[in-house]
Amino acid sequence: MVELRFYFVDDDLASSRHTVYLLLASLGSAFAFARAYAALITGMTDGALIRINIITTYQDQDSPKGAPGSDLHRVGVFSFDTDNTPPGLYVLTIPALIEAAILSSGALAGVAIDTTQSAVAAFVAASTAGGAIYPVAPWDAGGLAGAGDELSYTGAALIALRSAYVGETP
Amino acid sequence: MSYPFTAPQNISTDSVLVCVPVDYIPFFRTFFEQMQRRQTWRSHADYAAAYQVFAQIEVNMVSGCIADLIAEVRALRGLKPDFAAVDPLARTTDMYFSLGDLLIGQLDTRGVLDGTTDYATLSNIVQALVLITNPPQLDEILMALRGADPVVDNILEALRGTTPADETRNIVELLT
Repeated sequence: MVELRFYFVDDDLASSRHTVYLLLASLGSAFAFARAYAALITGMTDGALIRINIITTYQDQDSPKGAPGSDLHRVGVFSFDTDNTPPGLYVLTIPALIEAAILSSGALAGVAIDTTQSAVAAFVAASTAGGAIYPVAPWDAGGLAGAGDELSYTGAALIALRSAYVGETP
Repeated sequence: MSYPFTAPQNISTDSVLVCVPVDYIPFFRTFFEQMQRRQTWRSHADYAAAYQVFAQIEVNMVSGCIADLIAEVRALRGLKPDFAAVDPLARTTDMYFSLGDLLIGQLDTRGVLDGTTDYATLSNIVQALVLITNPPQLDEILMALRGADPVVDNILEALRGTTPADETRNIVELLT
């Protein structure tokens, strides 16, 4: 299943989303369909198409729940240096950060994340390893100018963890 | 509402230091998350530039600017040689020279102190200066320059040795 989300803005820059689903085994053909479909619906609206999301989803069918006391609003905030020129930063957040990852002593006890904790260290290492596939800072998600423009994206590799702390979000 | 990006002159120097209670740091994430959204900014270029500024501020809030400030102060104070092998992140404030250490070092270098008093017990420079009870006299300086003979009244004769000084001879002749 592939989900296509088309985002529009109006004259007040208020935004809205139109969603359709496709039965496709891969994302490849979804690019072309999304562009063709976008051409159809932009003829029906005065809003401006500003973004298309093409999404595949892994869905757990067993409806599990988080551990007792888990809180999605308590996030781990990881700021990485990126290999831009000039150098940049990019932030990844992990929801419901485990308590074991939070420093319990020192000046930032209860706030700073222990980067030596095994799960944290593994996450940071995988994010900054620079292997065949690795996370990037998506500075440009690709344009809407024409066929193939969705691949004109630019991104910067994450090269080192700069800081990590616990954030609270509503 | 979306904002155009206005570049700061220099985020490192043209900033203010805001004291945030550590326990309240997590609540600032909501603000930073909003400032790091694409839709907060008028254009993609505005967003990309603003993202960097707010990401840097967020890093500074939990470590960066205070760490830089501490590093600058410690560089000024200087590390005590005994602690050169200690990991910089594990060093404590007592591993660096204090301003008192630096002041006493200056006085030692100039020969003002006597080398025996425990000046670490003094609280200010006035106390240190009061302890200077035997400043060198002129005759002692001349003695040091010319050797072990007793100092005579005539400074030129004292400097040049055993030949009596003559008031008609100048210092150049005496030295040649």
